[in-house]
Amino acid sequence: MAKKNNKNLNKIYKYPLPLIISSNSNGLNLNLNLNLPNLFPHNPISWIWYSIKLLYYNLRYDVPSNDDINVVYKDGIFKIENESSMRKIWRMGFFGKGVLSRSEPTWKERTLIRLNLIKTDKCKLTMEDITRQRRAERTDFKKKRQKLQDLELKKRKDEITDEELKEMDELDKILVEMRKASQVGSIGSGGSFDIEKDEEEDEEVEEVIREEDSKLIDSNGRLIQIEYVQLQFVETFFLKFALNTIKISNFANLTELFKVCCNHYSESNSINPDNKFILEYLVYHYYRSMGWCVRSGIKFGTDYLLYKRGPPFMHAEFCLLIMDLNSNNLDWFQVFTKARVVGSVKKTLVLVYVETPTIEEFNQVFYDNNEVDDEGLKFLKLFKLYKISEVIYKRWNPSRTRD
Amino acid sequence: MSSTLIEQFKTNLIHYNLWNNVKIHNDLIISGIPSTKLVSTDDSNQIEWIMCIDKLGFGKELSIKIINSWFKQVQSLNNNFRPSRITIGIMNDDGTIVYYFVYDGITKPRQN
Repeated sequence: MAKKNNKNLNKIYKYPLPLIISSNSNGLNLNLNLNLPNLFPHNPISWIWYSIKLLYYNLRYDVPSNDDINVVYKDGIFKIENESSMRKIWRMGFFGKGVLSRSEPTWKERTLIRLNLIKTDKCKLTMEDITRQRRAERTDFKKKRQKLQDLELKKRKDEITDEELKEMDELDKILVEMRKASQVGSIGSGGSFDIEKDEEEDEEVEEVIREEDSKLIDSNGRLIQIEYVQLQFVETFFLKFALNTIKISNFANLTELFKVCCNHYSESNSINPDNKFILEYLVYHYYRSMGWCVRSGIKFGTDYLLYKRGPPFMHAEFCLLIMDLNSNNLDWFQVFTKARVVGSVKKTLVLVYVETPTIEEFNQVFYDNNEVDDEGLKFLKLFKLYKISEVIYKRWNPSRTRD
Repeated sequence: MSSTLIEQFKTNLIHYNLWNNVKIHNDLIISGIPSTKLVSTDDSNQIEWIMCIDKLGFGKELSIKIINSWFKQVQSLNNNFRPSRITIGIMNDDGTIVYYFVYDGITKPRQN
């Protein structure tokens, strides 16, 4: 399931989380960017060389700092509006989604090209361009297939001419080629690479600019950025509780944030142990802590998708469905239907069971005022009351798995 | 930029999907014209009707009665013409919208 590999990817996405481990407890700069020489225990010269280099780097460069990312809670949405933070939160762990993009916020780049505001011979292909290209190929394929099917019908009715028979043969060959190409993944996906811009396309571009588009350009002729990154509730809580790399001005403390998240998922004002937010958060945190990149699975009708490293590197391998042991939220028929969808996109369905504590156990920890000076510890204790277990669900087709 | 649910849908249709003539009719319904026709068997590019729903919203039961009431509402907005299909749009909490067609009765299936 690996996507087309691109050397640049490792460079762009070298940090798996929005954290830079840059110094040890003595404040020495150990930034991974710096190429410190190898240390050989049996070779004292390498110790000296290492020390000189380390000293040099520490005098020459500043220790990189983890600048907090500002998140605003507005209209029930967690937003990141600063452009460099938007880029950072995507590149370092693939959090959030550009509201006008498929995932990575690329609306501005795409729009600059679409409205001819920058002149480029070569253009960077964004994920959206790749999708569009793939869809155009698919449409073309369907057109040719339709034609072939029409001719086949004619043949069966014995109304076909020799010329049409020839055409049929050719179409058949083309379609076989196209099927092969699409399986290999002719355009590749993920990442970005350069292509020569199609000249013919340039001539066609003389489109009328929409009224909505003209409003996007300020009096200096510059494009206004209207895209922001939207974080899921679980992502926001993870970035605050687990990593503490974001600042949210709207909330005084973690408990307040937690309450807002829980209330967003449930009509009642009181927080129950089986609150949907808590269940979703625990599953999110569980897989993130094991190194998976967890993203929403709404496109496949499931709760989450698991990526190895992240979307630019690999297609998602697993789809997760959260199963609440208490409320029987899904019956088997619903699981069957979802499994068929997941199977058809070559992913594996994982049922994740969350065992919840009783309300008494929950309240005892949640309303324990002794721990208020360290909220993080309180939530850690609270989440430890839950148990997660997972089951892989696979459709078995007896006639296909015979030897 | 204000962002009630319906306005988020509108922005998504105009600036992500590049639709034209996008209009908000009420808290539920948006209409617009896609940049290319959505279904190959359509005669031409036609006006599409979107029902805007929040994934985490409450009381989003999907019964025949509710679907029929949507068709009726669209009919009253569309010169008393009942369209053959409408679209449900479901907004996720990261801003992803998934769209599904809902047909008014049985439709010949399309080859994928």
